[in-house]
Amino acid sequence: MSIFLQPVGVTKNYVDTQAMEVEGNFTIGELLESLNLPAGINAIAIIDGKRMPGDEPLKDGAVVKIVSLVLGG
Amino acid sequence: MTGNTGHFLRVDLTVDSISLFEPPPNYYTRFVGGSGLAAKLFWENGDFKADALSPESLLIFALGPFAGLRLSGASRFSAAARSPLTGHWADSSCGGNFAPELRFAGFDGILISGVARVPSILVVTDHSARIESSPELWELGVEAATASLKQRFGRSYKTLVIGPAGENLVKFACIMNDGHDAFGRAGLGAVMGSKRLKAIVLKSSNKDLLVADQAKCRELVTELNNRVKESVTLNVMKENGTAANLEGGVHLGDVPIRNFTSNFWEDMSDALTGSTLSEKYLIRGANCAFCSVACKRIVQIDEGPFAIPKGPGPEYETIAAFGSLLGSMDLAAVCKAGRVCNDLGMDTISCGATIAWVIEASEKGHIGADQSDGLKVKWGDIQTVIDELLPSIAQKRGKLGALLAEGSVAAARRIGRNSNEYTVHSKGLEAPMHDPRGGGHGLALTYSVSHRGACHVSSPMLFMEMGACYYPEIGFDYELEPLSSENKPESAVVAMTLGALENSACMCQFADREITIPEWVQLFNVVAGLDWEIDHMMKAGRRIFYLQRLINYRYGLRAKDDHLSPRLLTPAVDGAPEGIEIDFEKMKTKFYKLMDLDQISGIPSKKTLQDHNLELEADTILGE
Repeated sequence: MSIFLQPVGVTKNYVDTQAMEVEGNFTIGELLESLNLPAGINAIAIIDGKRMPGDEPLKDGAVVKIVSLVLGG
Repeated sequence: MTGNTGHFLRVDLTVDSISLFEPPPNYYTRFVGGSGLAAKLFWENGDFKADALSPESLLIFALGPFAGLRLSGASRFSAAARSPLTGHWADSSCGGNFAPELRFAGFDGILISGVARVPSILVVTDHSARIESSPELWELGVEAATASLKQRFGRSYKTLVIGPAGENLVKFACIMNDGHDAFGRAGLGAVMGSKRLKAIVLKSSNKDLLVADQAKCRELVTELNNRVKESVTLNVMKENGTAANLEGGVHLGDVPIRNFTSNFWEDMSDALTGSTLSEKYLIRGANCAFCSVACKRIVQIDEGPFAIPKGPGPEYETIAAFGSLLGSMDLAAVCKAGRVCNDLGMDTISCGATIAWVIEASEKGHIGADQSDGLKVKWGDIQTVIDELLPSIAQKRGKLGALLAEGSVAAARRIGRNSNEYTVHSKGLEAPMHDPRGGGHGLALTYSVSHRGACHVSSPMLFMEMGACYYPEIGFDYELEPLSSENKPESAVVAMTLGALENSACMCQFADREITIPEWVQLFNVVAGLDWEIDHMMKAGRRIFYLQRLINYRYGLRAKDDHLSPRLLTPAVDGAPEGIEIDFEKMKTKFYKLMDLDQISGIPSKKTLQDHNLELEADTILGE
C-alpha cells in the first residue's frame, strides 16, 4: 500500500516529502523507526490532525505528518 | 573559596553606601548560588512586610558557581526580589556576558536596597563599586541609555538597564542586559525603577576563574563543550533559533493561539517558524559568553511598516507572544514589537499575554470605550499594538495604559464582570508560550507548583516530556507520553529538584540537556571544591525548592494557590490535543505526597525540613 509522508518543522531536514510504498500491517512505530531520525529529534506521527500511537497500523492512502518533539523556550 | 569568590556587594541607595558582604561559606554549599543562594539571602536579609516597590524591598543579583567558566551554557545569572506583579517570591534568569564579568570583578552578586535621591547608576569595577547620579539617563529607552553608557564608559563595559516601563513601575517591567538579554519575568525592572537605579555598568580587567581542580575541570569542560557542538538539537537551534521547530509545536498543539483559545493554525506555523525568520530577516546568530550554541538572533528588516535596523531579534517566546497569541502571522510585526518592548523594558511574555487578555475581554464586551480610551485592538492588529498600546503601557498613559500596566490578573480584578475568565496564569504570573494541553500534561503540574508562578524554566519538564533527557541515576528513566498524566508526578519531583539546581547553578536549560547527572556532580566538585555525591546534589536541589516554598508561605501562599487558570485545564477545542482532559488534581495530589507537602498549607513537615538542614527556617515558620 502507499502512504504520503509530510515532514513538519525540523524533520524537513531529515525526511523528504514523498509518497512511500509500505507493506500491509506496517505500524506508525515501524514507520518512525524506518526514518532513522538522529538521536534527539524524537518524532511522532500525526494523521488527520491527531497524534497516532506507535502500535497503530497504517492505512492505504494515509497522509502522515512527521513532527519532532523538539521545542524551544 | 573556588568558583565563587565569597563576596557580595551590598548597596543601600538611600544612604549612598556600598559595603562588602561575605555570606557564610555554608550558604554556598547548602544553596549553591543563583536562585537558591538569593533565596537564602532574601530569607535572612529581606523585609517580608515591605511592599515590592518600597525602599525597604531587596533586589538581589546572584551568580552561580560556574559563571566565568568557559563552558557552553554557564554564563547565566539570577535576579530575585518580591515580585510587584505577583506579590510573592520571584527569581528570573538572564544570559549574556554580564555574569562572567561580575565574577571576574571579584563578586558573586549584588544586594540592593533603599532608593536613590536622584536617578543613579551603579558602576562596578575590579573589587570596587561606586554610585553615580545620572539623571540625564532617566526617561531614555533601553537602547539609547545603553548606547550612552557604552559611549561614556567604553564598549567593553557590560550593562544592566531598565527602560521607561521600569521607571514608571509597570508591573511586568524587565531588566535588559546589553540591550538584548533580559531578566524578563515578574517585574524586577519595576523593583529597580522604584529604587531610581537606571543601570548597573560593569568592567573587569581580570579574566581568570579560580577552580578547585584545574586539570580535571579543563578535561570535563572540553568534553561537555564538544558534546554541545555535536548535539543535533542544539545545532537545530544554532541554525534557526529557539523557534526552530515552531511549526512542529503548532502541530503538537503546544503553541498558544489567540489567548489560548485554539491549539492549531497551520498557515501561521509556516509564517512564524525559525527557518522563515532565518530566510527573511536573519543577519547572524549571537551567543552568550563562551557558548557555542548561539541561539540568539540578530535581525534586520529593510522596508515596510515594520522596518528595523540591525539588532536583537525575537526568540521563541516573543514570536509566540506577539504572533500566534495575538492572532498575528506577520513575522516582521513580531520582530518590531519585540524590539519596541525591549526598548521600553517590558517582559514580552506578560506584555503579550496582557494584551491578549484585553483583546478577548473587549471582544466579549467586558471593556467599554470609556475604559479603553476609545482604542479598539483586534486580533492580528499588531500595528496598533506597536504604535499605541506598548507606549501607553510603558508610560501608564490613559486609562487603558494604566490598566494594562498592572498585568492581566490585576487588570481583570479591576474590571470585574468575570473578565478573569480570560486570564491565563498561575499565582498571578502570565503563562509562557507552551500550552500544557498540547506540550505535555506534566507541564501543567510544574507550572502550578513553580514558585514564581506559571513558568516553563523552573524545571526541565518540557524537555523530559519531549524525551530529550533521561536521568536513570535519580529515578527518571520513563518514556513519557506528553498527553497523559502517567508518571508525571514522579517525573515532576525530579524536574523541580533538578530545576532548582539548574537555576541555582545558573546554567542554560538548553545546553544542560547534554550534561549527565554524574557530570553535574563532577562539575560542582572540580569547580567549587565540593565533595559531593549524587545524593548531596539532589538534596541541595530539594532544599532550595523547600526554602522558596517557605518564602511564599510567609507571603500567604497555600496549597490552593498551586493552581492554573481554568482555560489551561479546559480540553482543547482543536488540534492534536482536542478533547483531551488534563488530570490535574490527581497529579498534584500525588506530587504533594511524594514531596511531603501538606495538602492545605503547601509546605513540608518539620521533619522533612529538618532532614534537609532547614531547621532554623522550620522554627521560623512552625515554631520551635
